[in-house]
Amino acid sequence: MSLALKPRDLEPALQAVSPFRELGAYEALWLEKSASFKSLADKFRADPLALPSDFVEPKTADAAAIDVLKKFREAGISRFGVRVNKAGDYPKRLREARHPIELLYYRGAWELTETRSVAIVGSRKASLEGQRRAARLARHLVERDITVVSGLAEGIDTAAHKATLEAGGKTITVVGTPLHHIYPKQNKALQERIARDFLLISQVPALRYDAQDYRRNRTFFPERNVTMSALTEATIIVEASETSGTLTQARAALHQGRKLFILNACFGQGLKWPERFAEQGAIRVREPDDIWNALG
Amino acid sequence: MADLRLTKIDESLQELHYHLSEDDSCYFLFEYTSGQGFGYSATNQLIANIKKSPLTRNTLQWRYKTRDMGQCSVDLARALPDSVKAQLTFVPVPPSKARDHVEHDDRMKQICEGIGEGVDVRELVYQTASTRASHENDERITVEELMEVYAIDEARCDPVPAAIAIIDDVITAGTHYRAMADTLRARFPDTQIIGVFIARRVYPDEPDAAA
Repeated sequence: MSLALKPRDLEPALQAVSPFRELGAYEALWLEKSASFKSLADKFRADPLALPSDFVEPKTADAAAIDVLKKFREAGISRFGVRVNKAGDYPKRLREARHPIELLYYRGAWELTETRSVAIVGSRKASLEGQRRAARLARHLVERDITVVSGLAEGIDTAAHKATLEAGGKTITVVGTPLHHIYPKQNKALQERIARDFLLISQVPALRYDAQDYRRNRTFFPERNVTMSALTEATIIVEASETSGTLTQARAALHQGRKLFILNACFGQGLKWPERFAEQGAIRVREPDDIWNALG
Repeated sequence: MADLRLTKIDESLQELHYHLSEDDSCYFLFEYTSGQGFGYSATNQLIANIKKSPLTRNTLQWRYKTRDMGQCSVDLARALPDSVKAQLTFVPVPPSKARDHVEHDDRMKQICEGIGEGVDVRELVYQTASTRASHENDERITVEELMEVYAIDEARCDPVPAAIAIIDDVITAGTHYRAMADTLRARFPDTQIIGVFIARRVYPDEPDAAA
């Protein structure tokens, strides 16, 4: 009789990442009642060598993964990927976020994260002039072969993505919904086009999102702005109100040591935030060269 | 523990590597995108560099080849825990050109040797004849064709390996891994066999690309 070990016996010692198991474990962690990006980040801060699967029973993780795949399949998504902290192709710069993300879902060409990129963000209820400015900036970025990153929301985000595509540029969207949702509905075609030809990233847990009240899901939007900032070398704010989620990205950019640009039109409108961020190191953009000179 | 982990080719990734079965334990570090050229990603560049022909030995390109082979060694060393390294015999997939061929390129052997002092690297399998390089080749070589030219180098079989890691740069369909694993399994029926790759080949995200 052979006493030989089966191939799987090396597996625990290898400590390899199984994407299926890890996405299930990440989803299961998010199903815990008090889960938040902070609570998860705290968990991994306390145990820096851990993977999501170290905190979840394999059976629980695999069951969650099967549920997620089913949801994606039902939404017509057959091809997607995940990036897991500690595995290859996870961008190290995402660790500069205050509460770094352990796992991200994506559709499209992950390689776009290796390109030079700048985020253009701003209000959903943007003025026409703001949308024109966003489009103009996007075209300037395309001319410089810089990838335009935004959040697919109405208003500024949409203007930035659309102008980028029209100019033949590259774009990444970091969305505030799970992969199997379309938001906003009127951007369905845009979302699909970016996912198919470029890159769509989501850090939003699919099961939690579907399980909880939609009002609580709103927090996923500003939280994805933190990742958008971490992914890019700079953020340009075109237009934003005093309570806009865009300001989350402004804070994140400064915290992460990214350049933060605020268009001149934001100043002198009776808003407090432009001056406040300028004092903290943001660059007031009076003319486009202010951006290009600072980006180098 | 490592700041870079291997990724397992689990059931969610296996469809692109159809020669693998559920019983195979294969791992990779990065993703290489097919048909996009070396400039497409850092990994495409890395793989293009290490695959440069030995005929470029006296050109500037050689510097990139040796530099990136060194990088592969470092990455494997980071990703493989010491306890695993100590148990493994690293068996490189033999080069497509036989040992007496001018383009014989033993890069995988050199990458394995660069993993660290004292690692057991053995060319347990060699080719009795040259084959066409299969990477990105329209007319792909089959598992059966490979097994016909694969031979065990008996002079290197002692001691019997406790565990074998078949090492290659890119896993595509898994043809070479399958032929290597089956060849080695026949000779060492009681030895664990795993596959470790610098990269797995993926396709750009087109609906029919993987069909």
